[in-house]
Amino acid sequence: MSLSSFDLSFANILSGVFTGFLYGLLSIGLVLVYRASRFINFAHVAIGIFAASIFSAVVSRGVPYWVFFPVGILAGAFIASGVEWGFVRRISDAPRVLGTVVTLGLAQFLIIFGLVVNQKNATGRLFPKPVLPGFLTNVKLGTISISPSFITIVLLAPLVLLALSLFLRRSRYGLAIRAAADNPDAASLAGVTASRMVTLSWGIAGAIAAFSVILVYPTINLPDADFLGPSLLVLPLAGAVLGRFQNLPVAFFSSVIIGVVAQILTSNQDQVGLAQLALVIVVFLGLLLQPKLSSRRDEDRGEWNKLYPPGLPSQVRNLFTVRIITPIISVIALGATIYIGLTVTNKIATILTFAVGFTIVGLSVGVLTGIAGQLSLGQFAFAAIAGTVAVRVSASTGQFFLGVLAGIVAGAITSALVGIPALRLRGLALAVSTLAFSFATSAWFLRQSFLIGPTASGIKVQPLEIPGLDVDFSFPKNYFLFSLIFLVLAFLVSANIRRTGLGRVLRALRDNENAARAFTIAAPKRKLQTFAISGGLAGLGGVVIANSVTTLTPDYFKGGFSVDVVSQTVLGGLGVLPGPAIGALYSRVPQLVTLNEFIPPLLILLSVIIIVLIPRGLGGLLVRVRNKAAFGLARLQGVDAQAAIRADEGKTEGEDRRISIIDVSPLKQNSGRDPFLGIDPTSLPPILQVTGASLAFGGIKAVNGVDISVQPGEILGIIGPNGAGKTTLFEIIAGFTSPDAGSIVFNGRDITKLAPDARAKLGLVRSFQAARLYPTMSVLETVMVAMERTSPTSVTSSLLGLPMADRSKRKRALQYLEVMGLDNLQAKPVGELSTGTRRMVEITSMLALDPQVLLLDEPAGGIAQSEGESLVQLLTGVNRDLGTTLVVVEHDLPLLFRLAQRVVAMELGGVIAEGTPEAVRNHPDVVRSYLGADMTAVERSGPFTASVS
Amino acid sequence: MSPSLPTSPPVLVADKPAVIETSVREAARSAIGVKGQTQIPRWREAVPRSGRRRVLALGLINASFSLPLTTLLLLLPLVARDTKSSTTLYGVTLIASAILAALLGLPLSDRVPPAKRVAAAIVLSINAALLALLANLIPGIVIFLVIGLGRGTLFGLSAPIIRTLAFDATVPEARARTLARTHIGTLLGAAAGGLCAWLATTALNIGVGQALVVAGVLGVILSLGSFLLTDTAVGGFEPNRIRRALGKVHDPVFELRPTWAESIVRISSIPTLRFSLTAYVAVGWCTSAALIIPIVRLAKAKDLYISTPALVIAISSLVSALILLLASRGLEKTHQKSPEGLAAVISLGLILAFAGIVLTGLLPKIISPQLALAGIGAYLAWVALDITVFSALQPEDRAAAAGLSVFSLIGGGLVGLLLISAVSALINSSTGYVIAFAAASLPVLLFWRRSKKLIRAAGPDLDTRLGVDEDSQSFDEGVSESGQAPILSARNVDFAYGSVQVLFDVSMRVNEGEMVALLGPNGVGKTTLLRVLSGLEKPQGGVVRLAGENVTDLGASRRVTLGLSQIVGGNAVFGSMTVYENLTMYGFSLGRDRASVKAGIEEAFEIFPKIADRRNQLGSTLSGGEQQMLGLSKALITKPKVLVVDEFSLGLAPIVVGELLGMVRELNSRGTAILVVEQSVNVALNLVDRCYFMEKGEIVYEGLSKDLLAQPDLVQTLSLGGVPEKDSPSGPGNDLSTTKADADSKGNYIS
Repeated sequence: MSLSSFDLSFANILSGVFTGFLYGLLSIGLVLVYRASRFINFAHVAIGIFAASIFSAVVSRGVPYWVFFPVGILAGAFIASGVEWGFVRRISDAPRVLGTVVTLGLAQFLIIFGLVVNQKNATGRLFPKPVLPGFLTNVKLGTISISPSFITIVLLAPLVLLALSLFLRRSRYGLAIRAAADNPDAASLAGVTASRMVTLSWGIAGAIAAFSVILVYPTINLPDADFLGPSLLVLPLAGAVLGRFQNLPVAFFSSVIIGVVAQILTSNQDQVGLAQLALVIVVFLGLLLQPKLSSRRDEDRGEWNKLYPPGLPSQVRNLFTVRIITPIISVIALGATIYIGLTVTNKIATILTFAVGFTIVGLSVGVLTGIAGQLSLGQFAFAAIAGTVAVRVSASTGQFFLGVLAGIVAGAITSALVGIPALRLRGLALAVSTLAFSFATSAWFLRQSFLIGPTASGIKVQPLEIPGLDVDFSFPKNYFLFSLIFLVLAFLVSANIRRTGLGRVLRALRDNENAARAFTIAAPKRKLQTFAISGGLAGLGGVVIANSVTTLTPDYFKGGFSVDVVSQTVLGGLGVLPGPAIGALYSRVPQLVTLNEFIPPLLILLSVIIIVLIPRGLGGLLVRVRNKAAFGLARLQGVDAQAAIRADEGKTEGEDRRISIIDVSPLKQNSGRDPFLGIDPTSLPPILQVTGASLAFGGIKAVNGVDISVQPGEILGIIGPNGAGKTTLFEIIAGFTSPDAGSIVFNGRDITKLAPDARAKLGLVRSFQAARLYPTMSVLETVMVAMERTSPTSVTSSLLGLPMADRSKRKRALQYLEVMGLDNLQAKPVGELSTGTRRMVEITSMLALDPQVLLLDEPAGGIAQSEGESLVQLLTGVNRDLGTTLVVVEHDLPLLFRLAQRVVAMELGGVIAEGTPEAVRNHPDVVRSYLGADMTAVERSGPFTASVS
Repeated sequence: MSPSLPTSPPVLVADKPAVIETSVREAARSAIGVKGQTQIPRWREAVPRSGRRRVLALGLINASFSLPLTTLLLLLPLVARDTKSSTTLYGVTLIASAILAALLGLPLSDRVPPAKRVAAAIVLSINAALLALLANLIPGIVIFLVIGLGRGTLFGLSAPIIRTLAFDATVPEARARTLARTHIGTLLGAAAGGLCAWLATTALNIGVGQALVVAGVLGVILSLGSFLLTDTAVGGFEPNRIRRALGKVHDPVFELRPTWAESIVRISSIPTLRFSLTAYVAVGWCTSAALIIPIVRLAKAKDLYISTPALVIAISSLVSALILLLASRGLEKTHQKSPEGLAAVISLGLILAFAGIVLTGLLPKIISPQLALAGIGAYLAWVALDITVFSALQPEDRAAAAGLSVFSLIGGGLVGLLLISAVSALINSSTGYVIAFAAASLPVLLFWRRSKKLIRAAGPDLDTRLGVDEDSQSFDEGVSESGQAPILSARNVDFAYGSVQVLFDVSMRVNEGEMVALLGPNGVGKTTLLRVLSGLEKPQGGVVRLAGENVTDLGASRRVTLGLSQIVGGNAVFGSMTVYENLTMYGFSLGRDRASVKAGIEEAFEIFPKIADRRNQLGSTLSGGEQQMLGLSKALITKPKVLVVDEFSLGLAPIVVGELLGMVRELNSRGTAILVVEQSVNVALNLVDRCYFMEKGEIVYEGLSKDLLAQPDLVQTLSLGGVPEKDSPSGPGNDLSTTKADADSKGNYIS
């Protein structure tokens, strides 16, 4: 490959600039939408295409071009705001993955429906071109003739940019959009309805998309849904990424450059897909090099329990008749599938085998997204790579199963590599990078000779032969039945992950990463494990698909499949195990019959509507039916459903559980350590020493040279007004923020550079304000997660579903719950508990972590005044009986003064007083910082007082 | 007992209505006519002359709608024959006008200002008559377009207006009879319209054109009756309206009218209304089934002879009207007895309508009695539904609810229509009948389960609405010295972020022109309370009032336009915008009044020259003090009735605080009431007239600044987060901690 194989001519670069303008305009829309709503609109390009289709359908029937031009643009605006108002806004409180899937689905619908509407002029050459006055029609630049589309876009695009920037700078609503994006609260208080501004900015973005696609469409040669869809989106997305989804000009001009580069790269006929490869590199580097895309506001604040169907109360769940419902249904389903496999034709069997492959890849989405909360839009890329490797290894060794194994390993490795950026990024950034990877795979990687090679040739697939079994697996029917073995295997593995320790750890990370790290879970390691496992699963799916054909060509793994598989899984239900299978059936079964052209897009639309209406998916509906049946069975056996539910809520006489005084000394033998061996702890060296800790945000010094030393066995209180730096100090001590200067020494070891989970492992554990814990996890699971410190979950035993480790953990966790009086709440999701009860659960987990030093951040926050005394007693008991050293930040000063033996007072990032509670309480600086600026400072404003009163 | 799944988080907030005393509840119920007695006064005794006139006018308006439009619809097939257009066009016209009516009524229902309701009703009524009169002049098939659009528009606009007018027309004791009588107007009009069409096609045998002229003229005459209509204010017969206590002259309902979306949110939060909407769907569905099955049959049998359907319509409408008149007294009794009984009437009405349909199937030869039965059932259900729905709502939400109900009604009708027309092809075979009846009975089944819930919810929901009114009025009247409602008040506010409850039963107020501080250590819920007051958060329980009006359901941006201005603590500035743009944004609520925005900005620059120097700098580059000044400038631009400042002096140098204090005093002297959240007690006591101390989401102490300044010990205890002892001298301020201590000693909390 040399430079000469690229077309570097002026004409080619010019046409690159031209498409670059398109990408630039599209990326501006993406940035605008993102700034207004923190959301990537994956339907952005599709909205433009749909508007263009309507435009073309009307104009080709004789309506003058420029008369209908504004109407087409308005159509884009209306569709975009409709998408926001009708769909995206409805699910804004669910995890972002739902919104992503909804816009991706709408994108497919709009594009296919657009092609249906505009069948006649679907190819670019027939699409209406702008009608220009005579002197502009035949412009030549040297020898190159410039098309009217180009002239129009060159003339109008700057105008659009100018108008947009003027609008955002000068007009009332432009300012309001910026204000609402900048500071929604302040905007609402200025009289702006923030949600309306979001809809408005979507509308503007839609108008720009329609404008640019209408002008550029005539230059697109081959329209097919796959090209027009996500792959056209990836380029402007890359531009938007480079503009950090913030900066409009940067996004625009990087898109132009990307357009030019892409044009040059695609001009090399020998190397197809170089452009996509370059894009992946750009996106990855762009994402990795920026300081941090996800600020606090960008975090996914959706509630995952929106995706999980409600469980059954334990009294009902433990009935024998109820327990066997699921196994019976599974066996019936499997039996029915085998029966179908035996009866259908080969043609149908081929489709069903694909469905099996899709289901297995869907299961990998279920693990990665449903459990771990990471949204990958590239699962089919891993499947494709794995499938190819498997076929190649099988062919060269003649060992089918060796190939399968190699494929799974290849999928796992690729997935883990692609997952590395996810250690830094969450949510949408990962979605963008995996989407880009997915298209690079189908466009470039697969077409390399080390994988499949160019489309035309493909590779021969060695048919499966099992020695001693006289079955011809080249018959699709037989292969389908064989593939069911893999399906069952994949289901078993996913079920094991969901059920056992690994799933628990992953859900904890997903629900609340910080709390999980404080619970000693090593986030990076666990995440990479997840990527590897889900990549392996996806690989298995790819292997099934690759081996089902006689000649494998890259076309069997379309880039768009990755998106389809995620949509299907969400439709089937991310929170339920059979979700991927249900989703695969929904999308594959209609292929068995010939359909009217309108039906496929409508099916997609229907699936999007189902997702919006039922975020738990079709599988969630199934679970509801099962629950109904379970309640019915329970009633037959004399179990009152309402009573069972109440029993699980731990409610007696309508009272919620509250914080109560509990003797924690029975837990002492669990800790197995007599705190101080009879030595006076004050004579020991300090267990925790903070020296000169400082941290500044911008120009503000949040923590400014703080020295604190904590003796073993003491209770140290930290007080201070808002913004004094207490919580920041905690973050520094626990390792969630690294200080600009200073050191932290724990038990004689410098831990300044350690990660929070490593510090927790050493025995330095922190709690969080409001004790959010893991909203979707049950009380029992939460305590079991805390036991990761003493007995970390092994991935192998989790995958194999070995029950021993979990069983002993469960037993110990139950002991803790019993002592703490929480055992009747064990199955209750933490998110449904009151603050006080959650605080109890948190304290229980902390005890299960068996820490030496416990950092408590506002333990009395959000609990009733009357519970405060019980909390003091409880914490004193923990300190006395278990010898745990406590450092407590608290606003409730009377409570803290009762609890702490020593108090540190902070103000403006520094320590202003230190000593016994009495001494600190009467310290003049403390009195001043709470009573505020002293009288003289206020009275200096004498003239004002005099003038008014 | 059907088992339900534990899906919702635990309810944190105590059920407020249960607290309302029985006597208060009885009084409030009886004030809206629910007196729990079976003896009711006669119509003439109960309703004053003016009320009777209003009812007559509304009846005439209704008749002026139904008479010409019935004639028109009955004769339209003949028009179709004359213009040689297909009969499908007839169906399409009907459906299009129904869709239009449903869709128009939905968003436009509350766009007519309350004061213009009467005028709108008159105009619409005359237009309906003119539509028939002029239909004659329209050439060819355009008539279908005009009629389809015209009828749909008129119906969609008028139905909500006329129904809310009817609800407000007379005293609550005669509400059921009032609504029944206005419907009787519709039925009589339809009877006359049917008769007109029948005579035109049989005895008189005049052409379609002349028949339409006759109907139009009759309609115009009837519509003249609309001039008898006079208005009572929206909710004119509502009890306990606070505005009466305020002695306000203007109509606050208009000024504080919630937006349509806000109304819809409020409506959908009331169970009664959610169940009622299903009932409207069922009524609409049944009605269309009752009408369509026999008419399609007739049309098929007689091959487009209009006379028979016309006569059938005329007779059945007449019978329905008579029965409705007779039944209205019984309906009134039920209404006065209990809301639950009225809810049960809805089910009864649906069953009657269903019986009518079934009888049509059994006795296909005669149709009028069955139609009459179905009609009376539908109207009974309709009246009962309207009363149930409107009673459970604040007056200002009723227009939106009316629009929503019309949408449900017509929507249900359309679904029924489409479903039944789909099987009407089979109507002559016996299976066709079975399927058609199955389709028609679906809504009854659909509603069956809900009806029990509706009956259960009707009473409590009504009490909630009345209770909130009663309760907060007595609160507002009781505490304010001047007898004026406070400019801003919270009553029994509970608030939780998810399952974390932050505010517990908080009540506080700011009187007109007063300066109040909310004090307490951080993390006790001061900022959250401000967010609830300004509308950024919606409380789970309790009421927020602005100038005496309930604004609990209004969004933050609406409250700004009503005169509440809040400055978010430490975060009032749009960091990515310049100072000048920030100031322009603050004036957003003034709309296009650029001049006063500009004047406000100039004033702000004058008072804070530091800001003027930085007018082109980004907001984020300002220092803390400058940001607070910029935030305060908002009050200079919008000139609010009450200004709320969060974290007034946080992180600011004393000299800057002094400057800001002067500015706040200046604003206050111009008449703006002030509420500041402050961590520094000294600063607050020097500024304000009155203080609240908060602790753990509750207000623990309230007192006047001058009293507190005299008791430094108490101040120190309070500011360090302590709760004063029971016997501590608390001066004239209300020491709320007493009641709290009482609650504790009862051992409510300690398990």
